Amino acid sequence: MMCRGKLAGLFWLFIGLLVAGQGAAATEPVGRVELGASAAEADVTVACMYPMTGRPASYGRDSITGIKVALAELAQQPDAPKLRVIVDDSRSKASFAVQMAENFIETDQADILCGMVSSGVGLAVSRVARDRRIIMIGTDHASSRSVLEEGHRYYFRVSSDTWYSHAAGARYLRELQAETGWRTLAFLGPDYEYGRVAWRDLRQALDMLGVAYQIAGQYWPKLYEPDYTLYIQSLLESPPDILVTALWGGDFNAFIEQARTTNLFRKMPVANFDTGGNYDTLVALGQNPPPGLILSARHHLNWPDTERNRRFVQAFHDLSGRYPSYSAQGAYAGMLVIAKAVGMVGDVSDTDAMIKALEGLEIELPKDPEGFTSYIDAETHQIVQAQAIGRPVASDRYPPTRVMLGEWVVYEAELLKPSPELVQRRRGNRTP
Amino acid sequence: MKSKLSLVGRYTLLSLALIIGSATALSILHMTVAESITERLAGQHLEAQMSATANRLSAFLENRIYQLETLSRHPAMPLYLAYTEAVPEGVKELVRVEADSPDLYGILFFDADDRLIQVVPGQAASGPPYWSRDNWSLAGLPRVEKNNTELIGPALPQQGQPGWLLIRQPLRYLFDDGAEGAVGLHVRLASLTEQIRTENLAGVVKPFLRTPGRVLLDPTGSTVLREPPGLVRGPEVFPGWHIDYVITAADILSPLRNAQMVMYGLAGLLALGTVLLFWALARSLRRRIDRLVQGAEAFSSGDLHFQLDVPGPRKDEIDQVAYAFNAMAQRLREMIQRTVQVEKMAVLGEFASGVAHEVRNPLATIKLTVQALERREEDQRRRGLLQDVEGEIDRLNRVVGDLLDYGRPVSAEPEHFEVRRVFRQAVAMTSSRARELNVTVTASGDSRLLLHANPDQVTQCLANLLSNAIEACAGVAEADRSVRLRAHREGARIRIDVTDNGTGVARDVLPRVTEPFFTTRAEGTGLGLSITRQLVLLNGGDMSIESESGEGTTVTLLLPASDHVHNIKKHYHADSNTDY
Repeated sequence: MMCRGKLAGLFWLFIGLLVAGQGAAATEPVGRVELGASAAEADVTVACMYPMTGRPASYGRDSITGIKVALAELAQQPDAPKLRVIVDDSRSKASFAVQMAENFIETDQADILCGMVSSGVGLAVSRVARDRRIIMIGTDHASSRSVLEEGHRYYFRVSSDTWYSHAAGARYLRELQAETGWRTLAFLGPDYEYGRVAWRDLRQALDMLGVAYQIAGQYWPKLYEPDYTLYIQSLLESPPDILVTALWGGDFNAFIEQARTTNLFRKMPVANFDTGGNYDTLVALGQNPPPGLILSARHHLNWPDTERNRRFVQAFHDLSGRYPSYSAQGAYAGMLVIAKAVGMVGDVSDTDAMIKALEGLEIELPKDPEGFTSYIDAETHQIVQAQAIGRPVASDRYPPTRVMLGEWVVYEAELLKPSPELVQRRRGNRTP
Repeated sequence: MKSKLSLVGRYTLLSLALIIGSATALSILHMTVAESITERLAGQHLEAQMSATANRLSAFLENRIYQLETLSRHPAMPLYLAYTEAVPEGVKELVRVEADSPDLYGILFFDADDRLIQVVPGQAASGPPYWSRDNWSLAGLPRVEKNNTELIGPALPQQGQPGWLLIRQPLRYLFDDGAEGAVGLHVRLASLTEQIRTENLAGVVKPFLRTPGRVLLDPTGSTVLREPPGLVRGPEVFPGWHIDYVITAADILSPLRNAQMVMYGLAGLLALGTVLLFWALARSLRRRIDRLVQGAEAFSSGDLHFQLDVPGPRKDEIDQVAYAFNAMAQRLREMIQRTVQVEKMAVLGEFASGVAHEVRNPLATIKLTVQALERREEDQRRRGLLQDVEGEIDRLNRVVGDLLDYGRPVSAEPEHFEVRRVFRQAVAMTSSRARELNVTVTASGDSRLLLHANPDQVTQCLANLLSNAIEACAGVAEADRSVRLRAHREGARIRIDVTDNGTGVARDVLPRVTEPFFTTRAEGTGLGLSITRQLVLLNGGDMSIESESGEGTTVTLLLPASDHVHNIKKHYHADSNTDY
């Protein structure tokens, strides 16, 4: 009996170590990572910067897995160019990322810069790309300033930005106003580039649609704020008819977690048109999400329900054992866009040719509904994609989340494109 | 007569006094508790909390100033003013890292003319002056200075942009005293205002940041457009910057206050409801009591037949009084009737005695005379006439005897006896007349039933009833002439039915048949049923008559049953004709 007991103990110890080992393996490395072809055989060297530490680390982790999925897919195509992808931790700091970009260009001879989750970091690196005349592919940071006011010929974006998501959100709010008659609106956004531009985009879109409303409050907690009590109290003291928030990732999850202990969700619907439908938020909502949530994200696991999207989600899951956040689809799209452009041009060092290839480049992506193919707008260098806005509904399809978005309202891509007048107004007299 | 203050009115006033008294006592208790809570929540800890908040805000500013000093005292920093390209990379890196502080938008450099000449964006940088410098200026912003540090602003939130302030220190060239500029930290206004949040007193004390421009900011950094009432000036943390606050215990206590208002409302409703209820009750009660009073007045004025209306199912106190009133009236009526009857009987008895005394003796003399004449009379016709006279004298004697019986009834001396005894005697007494009229008399029931009454009087009653029944049968066909006696037990009484199938009694006549001297037969005295009823009552019994004209009559006697156990062995079967 004693012997059997010891054996059983050793067995469970072994299982424990195995699980711990798998857990450690599941944790993405912090710091520089090189993926794809070696420097010697690569057709192109892409240098990406993502946060790998702190609250947004999961976005960097999922972006790396998205890159891996793309590289695996390209490896199946004999004619596809060979990509060497270097990823390093931007630490969500512009100073780090700027220095890192310089090093990538100088030391690693990077042909293309990519990535960035924080819009502030993205804009800082975009300026480096402009100054160094090197192509930059933005995969996640979503401030529309990147392609409008700060847009330049070397900068391209491959996921929907704050303009697209809030242009769709403004339409949704207009329809909601016809239904509920809401009048007052408050905005809660992180106090940095992304939050500011998201709020401006929403107001501009609402004004262009002629939606009448009053601003009941504007709240600017800092990025990665751990405590939203002040803002929740203030919202409860002066409740708007509707609250739009641009908090994202762990910030949005923390806000929901704190607000659901109050009656905030019973007093006002809460909309998050750009990031709120992210998978990690859906997991955090639990089995009983608070009422009145209106959410969307730059990519959804269950919309569009196409073979292309299912294949991407499944490949990601097969590779990592988890489901992707929207940042993964951005990174994945970035690799496919780069590969297609390089394939078209042949020589990545011909930057002008590469820019020409990227402008108007069409590419099939998981986010494309049936009958539509994403393309990069030649004027703004922003990818043109449809937006879907939904509400949480019970679903066990993608565990561990117990809810997914449903009750979709879909806005066609062409409908959301910024008009030439708006582009002109935002850019002023400057030519990119 | 109306009372000045009815009983219901008194109860109403008492209830109102209780309600108002309770509400007042609860209100006083509530106010005492509310004041105590306010004191506990705000009073005792307020000073310490305000001091801690001021310290926190001061520490935040001191940290920023310390951060700024790191830059302003760096010997290479002035290069940003005129020789940016010459700034060493290490210094640039230092400035970028400092700018990435989460509380800053960035670091700004100004020349001697206060013109912005360099910006280093941080993590939170957005909009002007980083991506453009349109609409960005220090002009018009409040400025305060302390120990070589200038605090400029705040620039208030506007046009979708959050507020900010600038903490600035001068920069001087090492070798050129004439040229100077400044370096400033572009600070998030919300990072500053967040410091005044009062965690422990949240909801009780609302703090605000008063800026040198007399603008009031809340902890989220939003401008407070309307100064809240009761704003108290708090400690100064930098020249012109104060922490003002409002004690808002009222907000915390608002549920209690609401509860107090609800309590007052409920007390008011309760009082109103009480008044309405008692008013309705008083109306109903007065109406019903007026009816009682009316009944009493009617009764006192001689209307003994007045009856109060009493609804069936309701049995409240007033109904009980009404029931008692009606019962009292009935009993009084019966008592008066009995008294009148007794007095009538007494008068009748005296009258009957007088008549008997004055009539019977002459009648006896007349009869003896008539008998003597008859014996000597040889003429048969005359002899017959004398016999008729003798018969009339006998009838007159019987009438006088009946009058005596009725007027002076002999008190009943009850015995225990079997019912068959009186049945047998009564049947025997009437058998000759029954045979004459060819009437069949039968008896049924349990012959062993024991009565507790006077057997002679019961026999007399039954004989009277049998006689009446036999005579009633004379009017029907001979084949149908029958009289039935039946006895059975009914609780504590023995019921005896005397039933005939004779001519019956008309319905309008039936109530009068027991009245003295009322008779429907020419040869009757009209005293038989009266005497029978009188004797039954004397023996503690009741008598009732049911009759249907042309169908027959049933007279029912209810007599007290004996509680003695009889020892008669012989059994008689119920409902079988029995020869008594």
